[in-house]
Amino acid sequence: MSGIWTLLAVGASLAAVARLAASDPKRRRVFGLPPTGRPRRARLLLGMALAPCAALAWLGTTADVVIWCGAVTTLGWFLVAIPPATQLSMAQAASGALAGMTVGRVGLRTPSLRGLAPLARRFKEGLGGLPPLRRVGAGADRIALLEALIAALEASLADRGAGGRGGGSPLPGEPERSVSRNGWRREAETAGVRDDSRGEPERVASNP
Amino acid sequence: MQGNEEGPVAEPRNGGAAALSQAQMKRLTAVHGWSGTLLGLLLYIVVATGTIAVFAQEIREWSVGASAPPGIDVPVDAAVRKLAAFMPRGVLGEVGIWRNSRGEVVVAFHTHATNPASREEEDFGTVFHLDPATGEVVSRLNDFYSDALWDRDGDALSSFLIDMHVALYLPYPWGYILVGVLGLLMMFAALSGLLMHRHLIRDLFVAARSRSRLVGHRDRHALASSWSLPFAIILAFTGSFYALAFTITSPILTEIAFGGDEEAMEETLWAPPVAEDTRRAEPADLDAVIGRSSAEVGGPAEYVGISNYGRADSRISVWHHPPEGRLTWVQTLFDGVSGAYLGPRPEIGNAFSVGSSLFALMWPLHVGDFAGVASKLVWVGLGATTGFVVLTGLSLWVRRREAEPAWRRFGLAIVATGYGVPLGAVAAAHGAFLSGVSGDPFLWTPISFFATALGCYAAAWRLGDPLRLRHLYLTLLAYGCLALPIVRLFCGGTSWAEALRLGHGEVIVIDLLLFAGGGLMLAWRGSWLRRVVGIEARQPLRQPAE
Amino acid sequence: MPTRQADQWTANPESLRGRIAAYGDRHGRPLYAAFRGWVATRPRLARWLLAGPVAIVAGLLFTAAMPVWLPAGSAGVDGLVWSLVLGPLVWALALLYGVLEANLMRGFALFGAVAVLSALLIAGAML
Repeated sequence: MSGIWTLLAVGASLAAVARLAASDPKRRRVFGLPPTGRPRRARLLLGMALAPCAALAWLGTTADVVIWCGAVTTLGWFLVAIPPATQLSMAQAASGALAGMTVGRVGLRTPSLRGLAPLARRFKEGLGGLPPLRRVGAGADRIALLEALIAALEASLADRGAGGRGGGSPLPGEPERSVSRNGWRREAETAGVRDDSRGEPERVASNP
Repeated sequence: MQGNEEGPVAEPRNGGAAALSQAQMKRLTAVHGWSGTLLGLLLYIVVATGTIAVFAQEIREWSVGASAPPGIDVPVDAAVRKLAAFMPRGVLGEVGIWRNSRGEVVVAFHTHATNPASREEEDFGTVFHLDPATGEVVSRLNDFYSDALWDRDGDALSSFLIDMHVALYLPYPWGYILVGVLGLLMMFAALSGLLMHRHLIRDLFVAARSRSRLVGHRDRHALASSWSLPFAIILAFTGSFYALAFTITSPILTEIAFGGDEEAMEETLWAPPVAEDTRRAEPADLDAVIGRSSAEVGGPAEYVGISNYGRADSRISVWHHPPEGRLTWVQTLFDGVSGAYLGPRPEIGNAFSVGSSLFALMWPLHVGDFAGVASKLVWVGLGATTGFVVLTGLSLWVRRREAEPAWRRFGLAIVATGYGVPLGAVAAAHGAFLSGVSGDPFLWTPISFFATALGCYAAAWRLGDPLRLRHLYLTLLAYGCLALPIVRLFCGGTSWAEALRLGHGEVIVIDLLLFAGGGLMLAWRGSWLRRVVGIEARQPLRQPAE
Repeated sequence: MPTRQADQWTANPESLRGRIAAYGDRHGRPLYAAFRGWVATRPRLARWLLAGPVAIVAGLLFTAAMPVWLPAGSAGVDGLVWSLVLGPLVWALALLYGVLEANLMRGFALFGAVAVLSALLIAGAML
């Protein structure tokens, strides 16, 4: 059997491995992804991953099978070792570099490639409906924003405990508290953190 | 909960496989961890140099500037007869014929004699290098053939890389024994890791959860080792076989089975069966024998071995690279007087058996050269994965003990070694080319490697910061790779135009790979590539209560 | 009349069996008890010895004896070849066993039996 068939067999097996990885419940749980909502069919996927090797063993040679084993274990690890967020950003970067299109809310610039939008959305769903690219990789900022949120919530709880709106003075070191409906956002802005949740439904800590 | 003499038994793994007690798990973890830590850096050096050495032939051709000739495809019979006429009968006991990377035909007449310097039984005789077109003698050497002398027939760079891999550049047999022990360690680590990892199947698709947290280090190590487990065992097993079989096992077996008679052992295992007949006889036409063998096997001959040249009991063995689809080399046997084809012969022994098949599989499963570049690429991937497993295991060990200064220093040594081996290999290449102009490449290639390695450790000691160290090493490696093709060219190497004209593709491909690799490393260091793939710059985030 | 199977061995002290039993009673039992006591008092050192030198020696002897008891195969050299090829695997498994064995005395007994049997086979082949 020529090398091209071995290559195709490796590709087919890796596609099944990728699907297994994307639908693995522990992987999704660990990375905070929602369940796929579809049955996993792990045995079927495993069969699809191993079937090319069986085909090579039947129709090909020993060398083909050994190459398949080595290639699938190495490339399979490489595929699985990339976290879902990085996979998505790599895919978006690759698709953006290739076609000048961006996936997500900005829309497609290249008319002829608009037909790929449903495919791109499906791909994004397969990776778990991750947030858009600009949220990915802003981990440090996000943590700071969440910390500011918590500080604001604690402050509003302390206000409530001190007797209502505007009651109680800020503790030393605490930022000035705002008691408006958007108090949490002003808190965050005072803390010098960029709030990039524009467009998302606001989770405003409603004050009594 | 069930238990044994050592107390409660942990819950069964993966659906009820044999469970280990807490004490057993603790012991296994301790031995896995400590043996890996004490010898892990040396093991990484062996693995990394082995990964590079998978492409030793291509590196040799790039270094020399010429493609390997397609086997022995030139007439050799006339030249061999002419040379044999002047050789004393004593060195006609074994004659080896092959082509080196420069295309010269090498004819080696040798016998076994005790070397007064080493007091060991070694090959002794005369090696001729012949011009392939005319058959004229280009060079000649009379001496004992240690491995170093055989290697000098190639080039300094690939010979050094292979020597680092098989013996850590230590003298025989100690280097081999040490590398064999490292192979045993790797086998033990793979098997013990398999027993220790209680959720191997469940964790098979879990990528590292965090770049900096302890759990992320564990995830990286567990994932890489789980996926590479079968081949890690195969590579360790075959590697320790090559290192220990002929340094430890073979002498023991010679003593027990043959009463210490090495000649008898060699004749039983390697020599073709033939009744001794010392009468002179006209040797068979070697060109006809090689042609017949190539037709039988369907590929060119790589090596010809003749026993008792010019005697009635002469035999000719012809070796061929694995035909397409097969894993093992093919050996054919011919009568050395009549040239009659006696059939295929196994690599060991005189008849095919399960044992001979297993022996023959050791080479292709370790080296991965049975299908040319395709299989070599896969083996490079396997080697890189194994190196990653070793480094992540060491990093995990250090991460757990980061509070202690001694372990933090060891962490720096891990970074220095991890980058030091590829950096040293690039430096060795620079040394080989620069010293090839005027000097001895076989001296300056290892000096360049070890000097660079020492420099890496010195930088680690001085800088003391892993992030700055990585940045420094990556920069040096990137520029080293980018400069290497230019240095090769300016030191008299084959130009791209000449390589294209003569069909020496390896020269161009490896130069391009070096340019591409250097460029990618610079892009990664400059964090452009990291931004593209969405990876943050590394920050040592401290997490409470791990 | 002997009441236990063991007593039949010593029923006639002049027989070979009787002499072996008497030797065992006089020397073997105290040695065994002393060794067992040592293992109980120094379990960590015993573990190091079991998984270290004892495993190595037992593994080497087992490998060396393999050509004696393995079938020679169609080529007549399979015993030697299997020994050459499988040697390192045997040593790695011996090390693994030495680490895992929960009962130190059982580990020593097993390695001891393997070493003694292998040594006897080797001696028989060399003589």
